Parts: sequence; structure tokens; C-alpha cells
Amino acid sequence: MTRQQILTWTQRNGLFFALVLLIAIFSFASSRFLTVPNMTVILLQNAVIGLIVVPGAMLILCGLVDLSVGSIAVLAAVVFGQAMDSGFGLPVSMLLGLGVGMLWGAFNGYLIAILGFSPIIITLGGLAGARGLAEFITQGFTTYGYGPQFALLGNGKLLGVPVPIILFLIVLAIGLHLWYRAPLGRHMIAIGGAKDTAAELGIPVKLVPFWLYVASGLASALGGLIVASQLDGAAVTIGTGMELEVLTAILLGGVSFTGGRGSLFGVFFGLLFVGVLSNGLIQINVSPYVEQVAIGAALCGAAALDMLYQRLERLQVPVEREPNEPVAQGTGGSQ
Amino acid sequence: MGTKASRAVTRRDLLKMSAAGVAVAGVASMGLPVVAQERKRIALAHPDRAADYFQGFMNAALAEAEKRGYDVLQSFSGMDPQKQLAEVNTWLAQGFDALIVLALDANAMAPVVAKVHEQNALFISYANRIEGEDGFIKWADRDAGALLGAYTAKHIKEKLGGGGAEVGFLTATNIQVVTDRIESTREAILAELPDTKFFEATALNAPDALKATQSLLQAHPAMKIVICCTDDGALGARSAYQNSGLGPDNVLIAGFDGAKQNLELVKARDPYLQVSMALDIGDIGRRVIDIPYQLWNGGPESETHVLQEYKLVSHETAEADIDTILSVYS
Repeated sequence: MTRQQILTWTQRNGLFFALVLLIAIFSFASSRFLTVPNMTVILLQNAVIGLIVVPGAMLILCGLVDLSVGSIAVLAAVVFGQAMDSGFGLPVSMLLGLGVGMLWGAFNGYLIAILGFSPIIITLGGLAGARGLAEFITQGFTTYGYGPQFALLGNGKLLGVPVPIILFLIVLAIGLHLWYRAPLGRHMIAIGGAKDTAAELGIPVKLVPFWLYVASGLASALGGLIVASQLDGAAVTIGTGMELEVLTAILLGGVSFTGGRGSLFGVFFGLLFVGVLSNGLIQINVSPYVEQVAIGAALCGAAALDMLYQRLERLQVPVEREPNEPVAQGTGGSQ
Repeated sequence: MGTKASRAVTRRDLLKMSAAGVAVAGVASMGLPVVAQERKRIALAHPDRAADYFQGFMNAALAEAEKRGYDVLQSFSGMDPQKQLAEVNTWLAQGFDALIVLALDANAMAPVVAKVHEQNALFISYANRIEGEDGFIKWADRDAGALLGAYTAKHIKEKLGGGGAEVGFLTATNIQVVTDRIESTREAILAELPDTKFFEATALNAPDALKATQSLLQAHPAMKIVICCTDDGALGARSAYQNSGLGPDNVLIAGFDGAKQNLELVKARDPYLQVSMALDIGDIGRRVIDIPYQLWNGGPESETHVLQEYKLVSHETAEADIDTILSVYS
């Protein structure tokens, strides 16, 4: 990596430094904060959101949004729970749960990407509809007790690393590859930046968002199953507020809500920033009465710091794009 | 010609039929409210359809309404005080005979009482109390907290060697029922063990409680007690302990409500989840409909101003007693 590339990277990932600052503050405040077990817990607590954030960020890069993720998560968990209760067995029940998520994603994708419906309206409908369906299916009674095999999904470890973290890292790696190394990354930026031009260039402007919605539905369903595994119960409270957590990580990470620019590394830092903040406030025993204020202030501070850092760096180091670098991505659109 | 004439007649007939149809519809629409008003309408604002106890509560309420011949309007504000207020205002525009509310914010709900009375309807609160109400079924949250606090203090003295214990609270600061539960528990523990250390986090449901307890355990690995403001939260705390690698020795996780899964775990002597402060869900469901009936029929105050006690269900509670509470879910 050349000096220029390092400077460019730091310029575009100011949130990384906000994250480092936050970790430093909590480390001084609590001796138990900066430890391997606690860092693992932070990753574990955010693995489910992280799974969903990757396709979610890609959708927003395309100028779209999925607000139904939390409801798809609970619907998948509930369908899984009912299937287990009906004696379908673990593999079939898991496939049913994941299948429901994919189907709902395909439904969203068809209406939004193919038929051109409003992504906000359709996925808001999904937010209410999928959760309502989950509540209708359960009739208020949570199923629970799925056995030790299913518990491995949420609580198991592979080489000492919790399974949800491994799943998240796999999805993140795939996402990073697609975002930065595959043509899909440039296609998403083009669709989000100038859809008509992208269509004229032969980019599949309908199919790409369609499959991203399917991926978002699948990731949400997987997230729902992981939480059901961790709780050993398909509670209808699963996924409550998840869409806001996902959006917070993505937007804090610098992906433009109107599409066309953004960095998946930034999204990763955004996810970690929110996770570190929630964990750290509990570690230093901040009163619940001021917790929300602290979260709001820290998020605004991080966003301001990120913006300030980008502006200062831009003044000092003009960005020189390399010949083979992807299409222009604005402030947050680099590796 | 003949065809044209018959067509004109048909059109005229159609016009006549349409006019008659409109007239019938008008008369019917004037008549319908008369029929509907024969059955009194009770608006029931329960904020949390996702609560595990909800179905048992609703089953009992609807059965009582059927018995009394009332129609029940339902709303679910998703634990959002503003949304609850908006729903109640919608009902006010629609009209009802009695409003029954588990107010998420008692202060915000207070002005509604006057509006309800302007419509000659009854205002009945449940869970907490609102000034000016006609009747209530108040949950004895503070008494329950005192009971749980005393039980926790006993646990600390007998199993954790007395003072200086660490206690975690999972709470939600914007819901009065919840703050009453947690504050009274804290006061009761402090009354017996003043040097107890408390750590708090916000968590109302199981997924949030799982994360909050994971963080609490990282900061305070010696913490053996977690008091949750709901039973759903207690399930999340239990999962966090189970997967923390810490042993269950003398761990005490407690919640409030008397939810089915929690009662069954306590009955099975789960090593983590040891207490559920159980409400008599069936009785609450029945009474929220019975109180307006009593008020309309001049019933005694003992039937219209009700304090609903909690029962502390723990490993010491007889299985038969737990089964009795669980029967509302069957």
C-alpha cells in the first residue's frame, strides 16, 4: 500500500478514528473493557445486525432500502419454531425459516425492483405485515426448547470463535469482495448514482436490486434463527427495532441514503461504533435515564468528527484516483 | 323502436331501483347504530401484544365480555406511549361506553379522563392509576418489588455471604409500571443490605436483555443476581448466563409478569431462573370487563377499585400452585 493509498483510506474512514477514540475513552473508564472476552462479546452482540447490514448497505448503495428486516427475522424464527413444534425436524424447520425470509425478500424485490413500487412504502408494509403474521401464527404463545443441536447456531463455537461471529465474518468477506472486487460493486454504485445511464450501459438495473432484496430477506431470516437459537425460543420480540439498528450502522458508516456512494468498511466501523457504545455505557454503569442521551450525543459527535476529518484531509491531501480504481464514489466510496 | 322503448324503460327502472337502493341503504345506516348501541362498546388499550401473558389475559377478558354482552375494541401500541395516546384519541372520535387503559405514561393519559367523561363514558385504568378514573385494577407493583427485594436480600445473606453483593437491574425508564417494580425492589434490598452494589441497563425484551446481560457480565463477572422488569427480559438474562461459561451456582434471575415459559422453568427448578413475580392474569382479564359492569350496575367499591397482588413463584413454590397459575394459558 502506497503512502497515497493510506492517506486516501484514512481520509475516507474518519469514523475509524472516532471508533478508536471511543474505545480509548471506555478503556480508561473501565479496566474490563479492552479485553479479548469483552471484544468477543461486542462482536457476538453485533454479529446478527452485521449479517443484515451487508446486503442492507448494498441496497442503500443502489438507492433503495429494506425496512422489513426485523419483521422478517421474527417471522422466520416463528415459522421455524412452529415447524419444530409440529415435528418437522431440525433441517426442514431451518429450511422453512430461511425459505420464508427468502420468499419475503423476493416479494419485496419483485414489487420494488421489477414493478417499480416505492421501497419505503413496500418495506414499511413488510415491517408491519411480517410481524403481524408472526403474531398471528403464534397467537401469543412462544414455542421454545429446540435442543442442543440448534443451540450450536447461536451459542456454539468453532476453533474458540462463536458461530454467529464466523457467519458474520463470512458474509462480510463475501460483501467486501462483491463491493470492491467484483463488477457488482460498480453496478450498484451506477444504479444508485444514475439509474438511467446504468441501464443504457447494459447494467441489469432490475435484477441486481431484486437479488439484493432476496439476500436481505435471507440474511434477516438467518439473523432471526440465530437469535432464536441464543434464546432457545422463538419470542415475538425478536427483531424489534432491528431496522433502526441496521440503518444507523449503514448511515453512520457513510453510505449515502440517496445511493451512489459509500464504503462497506465504513459500515463495518459504524456497526462496531454502535456496538462499542452500547457495551461501554453498560460497562461504566451509566444510568438508563441518561443512556439514550449519551448514545444520541456520541452518534452525532461521531458523524461530525467523520465529516470534519474528511474536509480537513481533503484540504491537505488532494485525492488522486488510480487508473484501475472503480467509478467515482464520493467521500465514502473507497477501500 | 320497440327495442329502444324497452331500453328506456329499463334505464328508468334502473334509476328507480338505484334510488330505492340508496334510500334503503340510508335507512339501514341510520338503523345500524341503534342495533350496535344495544351492545355496550368497551375500548381496551393493551400496549403489548407480544407479551407472553397477553393471550391468557385476552382470553379471560373476551370470555367475560361475551358473558356480559359487550363488544370489545382492542389496540396495541407496541409499548409506545405516544402511539397509545393517538389510539385512545381515535377511539374518542369513534365513541365508546368505557375505556380501559394500561397507561404507559400516566401523566400523558390524565387529560384523557376529562375527555372520556365528556362523552358520558367510563375511564378505567389497569396496572397503574390515573387521577379522576372511575375504577381501577391496580397492580401492586411496589408491594411486589418489596417482596422480591426481601427474597433477594435473603438469597444474598444465605447463599452469597451477606453484604457487598452485585445486583444487575434490567429496566425501561419510560414505563411507570416498570420503574415502580425496579425501584421498590432496589429499596427493599437496600433496606436490609445497604452496601449492595447496583448496575443497570435498559432492556425490556429477551433479545435486548441477552445483550445487556452479556455486557453486564463482562464488567461484573462476580454478579450473581439479575432482576428483570419483565419475564421476557429474564429469559434473555438466563441465556446470557447459560452461555457465559460461568457456573449457575447461586445465580438468581427474577422477572415480573408470570409468563408461561418462565413459570414452567421455575417449576422445572431451572438453576438460573429462580423467580417470577406472577400476576393472576386470568383474574385481571376478567376484572377489566367486570369493573365497568359493576360501575354501570351500582356494584360495591371493592369490585371497582381493585388492588391486584403478585404472587412470588420460586423454587420453593409447590408445583400444584404453579400449575394453578399456569392453567390460564391452557
